[in-house]
This record gives sequence, structure tokens and C-alpha cells, in this order.
Amino acid sequence: MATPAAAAAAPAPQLEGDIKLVSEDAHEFVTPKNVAAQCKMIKTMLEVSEEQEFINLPNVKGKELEKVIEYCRYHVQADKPDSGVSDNDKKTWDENFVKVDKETLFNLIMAANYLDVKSLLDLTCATVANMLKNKTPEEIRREFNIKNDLTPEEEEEIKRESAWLYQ
Amino acid sequence: MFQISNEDGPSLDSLPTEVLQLIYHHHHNGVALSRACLVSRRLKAALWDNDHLWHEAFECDWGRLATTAVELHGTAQKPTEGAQNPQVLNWRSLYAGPLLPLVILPALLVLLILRAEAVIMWSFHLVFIPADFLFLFGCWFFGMFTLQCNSRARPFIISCGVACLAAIPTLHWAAARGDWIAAHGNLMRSADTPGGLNWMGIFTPMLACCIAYTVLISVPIFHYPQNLDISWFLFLLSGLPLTAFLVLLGYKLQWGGPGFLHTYAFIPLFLYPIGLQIGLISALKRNRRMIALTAVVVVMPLAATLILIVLRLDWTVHTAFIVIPTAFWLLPLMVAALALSCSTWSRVRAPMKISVRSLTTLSDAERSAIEEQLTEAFGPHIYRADDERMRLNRAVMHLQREADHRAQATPGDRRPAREHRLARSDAGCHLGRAQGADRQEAAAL
Repeated sequence: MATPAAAAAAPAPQLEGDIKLVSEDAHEFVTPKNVAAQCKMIKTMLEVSEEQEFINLPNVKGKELEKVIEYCRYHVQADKPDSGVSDNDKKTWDENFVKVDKETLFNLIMAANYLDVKSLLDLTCATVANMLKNKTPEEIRREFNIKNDLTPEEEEEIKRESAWLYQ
Repeated sequence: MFQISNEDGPSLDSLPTEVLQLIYHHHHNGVALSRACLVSRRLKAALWDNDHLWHEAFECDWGRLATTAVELHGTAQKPTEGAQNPQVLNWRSLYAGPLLPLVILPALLVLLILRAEAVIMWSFHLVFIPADFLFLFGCWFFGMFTLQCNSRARPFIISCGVACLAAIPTLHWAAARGDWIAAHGNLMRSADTPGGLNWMGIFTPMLACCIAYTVLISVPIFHYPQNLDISWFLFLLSGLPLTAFLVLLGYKLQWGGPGFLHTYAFIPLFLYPIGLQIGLISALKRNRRMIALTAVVVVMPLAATLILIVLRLDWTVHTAFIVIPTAFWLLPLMVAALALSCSTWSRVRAPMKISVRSLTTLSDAERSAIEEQLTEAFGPHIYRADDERMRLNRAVMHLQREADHRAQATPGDRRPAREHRLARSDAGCHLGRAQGADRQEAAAL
């Protein structure tokens, strides 16, 4: 069964050469254009102007950009027909890839959302979904540092309208 | 812009709405959605009125069977508060809907069968001859012809056939609206592992079908409790080929579109609840052989299912829906057939041995032990003729003993010898009558 990453990487762009990606905190990453084109946003920019030598990414920090490039590079290599990487290997790699602290994970979600890497966004969101599983509202608040700004009346209304869910 | 971390760590609240919705899209769970709405105003705003998310959660929690029912239910209540336009249903408010049809539909079918039973049975005498034929074939195959195919078993089998055929359109209804398995990818997708199968999503509709079928099959059980014995397994063995034939015929004729075969792949799973019922009844009746058979038929496939789930094998949809259930069905069926053929042959032969041996060597203790075994094996109703035969055999043995005693007492006297011969001849007549009665009884059966 094909992973979402494989599906996302299916139309491999015919791009040659390297491109320099510059993060918000001025970190520079030189990467092959076909790897960078895994991000739909960058791909669109490259299609508009292939001659670009660098792209500024003001909304992504260097640490997260490095992770996104690592993710794209692995999947470009792994999705080649002669790579010999099985779907299970990819799945294992993905699982290890998202074993990061919560802050990095959330920043990765933001970066994937901004750069439009659908498979990475799915992977990171699924990871957060797993973290939320079987948790009460209070536990979610504690775990993710959320302030309860619902009024007692609002809470009561939600509970009343979804009471049948817990029957 | 994207610096979501603060002094206390990252906050879920700060993620964009579409990302929050994507996270909960992976949940497919109504309870998780409602809990999230209780976390904060921001999460509530992102999730509470998102019909798409509630619809997905709904589908995964209840399966397509319930969805179809709720669509019907929802059509009646269309001007629902919270609907974004008149054509869009508010799935959150309809979430509780499936409980109604899931309970009421099987109950209505059972009622229908009970009320129309006389008409249906009359029709089945005419129409359902192939089922009788298959049952007779099953009886013959397992050496049970003379013992089980009696007049009492016949209406029982017909009722089973009614229940079975009533279950088929029910299932077909469950698969209505085309290929719901293929059309509802979310049902199959696992939230835990991207690309994996959502086992709960798969088994929930199966479970619903199993419950409906169990209710249907319970009708003849409670209607004909005197036949709760090994003929149950014979019914299963003989009825399933017929069901398979109907399934293949339906597939060939393209009834119900491409989802047809997928639906009927569930049929093998109906063995589990039926097997569990038989196991319970067997336990109540303290029938050890039946308990063992049930254990083989029910526990083994369930264990295999669990092993597959634990190993998280990468099954494709077709493997999950067709190959596995079929394998699970065939394996216990073969084991059950083997066990049945072994046990029934020995039981069929046992009374014949008794009739010969009881004339010569059986003691009272041995006879009572055999009677106990027979009671355990066939139940008290099955061998009234055997009781009569035992009584006659005892009378014959008494006459023989008397004759032998007289012969030993007066060895030189010719009259007692003649009496001895006459007594033996008399015993032979009794024996002949007893065997004749047996034959008449067998013919009647």
C-alpha cells in the first residue's frame, strides 16, 4: 500500500541544479531543485522563474527548514523505482522523523502548512492526533498549554448538546 | 508569524483553523470532537460547526449501514438547526440517529417472520425444496440420515431457511447505494498509521450485521427448542452452500452494483455469533462434545483475527474483506465437518452394536452406562424405540437364562431340552419382533 508521501511525490518535476533556501533567521540551505520542489509553494515559484538562485522563506525558522528538507530529500530518494526502499521502511522512517519535542512538532506543522508539503502535514497532524487520543479536555489543556476561556454556560451547552455521545 | 511557542511551551490553540480541522480529521471520533470543543473557545470555533468533520466521525463510528439509515432519518427532519443550507444535513445533531434503525429494523423483521410464519412455511414447502435437498444431502454425508432427518427437524430447518433468506435482503440493504466500501475511503483509513487500515471502521458494520443476523437466527432456536442439538451444525453446513450459490448468482447478475460481493464476504463471520450461541446452549446442556466443537469453530478464527491485527500485517482491502473471512470460514468448516463425521459415525454404529451384544454379554451396569452415553449423545427424545428394544432385550435375556437354568438342572431329561429349544425359539421371536419394531421405527423416521 502506497504511503501518502509516495502519492504526493508522484509527479517528479524535471528540475535540474540547486537552489538556495534562506530561512527567517538567515540560515541558508543549498538543495537540489527537485528536492525543494516537493514543497508546492517552492515548486510554483520555480515554475514561474527557473532562473532563481535563492528563495527567501520568512515564515520558517532554520531548524524546521532543515527538517523539511531532510524529509523531502529522503522521500525523493526513497520513491525512486530502483531505491529498494519498501513502504514499511518509509513508514518506520516517518515514525522516527516525527519523534521530536512538541515545540518542534508544532513548528513543523506550521512549516509544512506554509510550504504546502501535504504528506508532511498529514504525518505531523496524525502525530498530534495520536497525542490527543483518549484525553479529557482538562488533560488536553494541561498537555498543550491552553487556557480555558469558555464560560460555564458555554461548557454546559456543549455538554448538553453532545450528551448522547457518552451514553 | 509562526512562533507558536511561549514561556510554557507550544499551544494547540495557536494553530490555524484548517490545521486544527486536519488534526481532528485524523481522529474520526465523535467523542474526541466533542471533548476538543470543551477545551477552549478557539477549538470550539474551529470544530463545533464543521459538518464535514462530524460526518466523517459519524461514518467511521457507525459505518455505512447506519449512515444510510440516518440519511433517511435526516430527510424527515431536514430543516435542522445548524445546517448550512437546506440541502446539507447537520451531522452532529443526527449522530444519534442510527441507534433507532439498528434496533428497530431487526426487531421488525423478527416480528414479520413470526407473524407470517405459517404462510412462509407453506411457501417454503413448495419453493425451498433445494434447501431440504441440501439438508438431506448433509444428513446422508454425515451418516445422520435415519437419526436426524425426522419430521420434527423439518419445520425447524424450514424456519432456519426463512431466517437465512430474510437476513440476505437485510444485508443487501446494508450494502445499498452501491459500493460503500470503495466509495468511503475514510472508513478504511487508519488514523494511527498513514496508509493503514481502520480496523474499527471495518469491523463495526460487520458487527452490526452479525447482531442483526443473530437476532434473526434466534427465532427458530426459541421456536423449536427441542431440536437444539447437532442438527444446528448440519443446518449451517447444508445452508451455507445454498447461500454461497445465491451470492454468486447475485454477483453474476450484478445485483446491487459492485458492492454486492463485498457485503456477502461478511457472511462467514456470521458463524461466530451462531457458534457462540450454540456454545452457550451446549454449556447449559453440559454437552462436552458440542462445547469442544464450538471452541474449535469460534475460538480459532477469533484467535487468528487477533493475531493478524496484532501483527499489523499490511493487508489490502480485498484481502481484508474476501480472503480472510473466506479462509476463516473454510478452516473451521473443515474441522467441524471432520469432527462431526467422526463423532456421528461412532454414534450411528453404537446402537447396532448394543442390539447384538445385549443378547449375550452385556451386564446391567454396562447397559445402564450405554444408556447414559446414548442420552448424552442424542437426547432423551431420539431413542424411545431404543428404550422399547432394551425392555424386549431384557425379556429375551430373562427367558434365555431361565431356559439355560432348566437345561443345566435336568441334563438327562428330554422334555426340558425341548422346552429349552422352545424357549430359545420364543426368545428368537421376541428378538425378531424387537428388530422388526426397530425397522418400523427407522422407516417411520
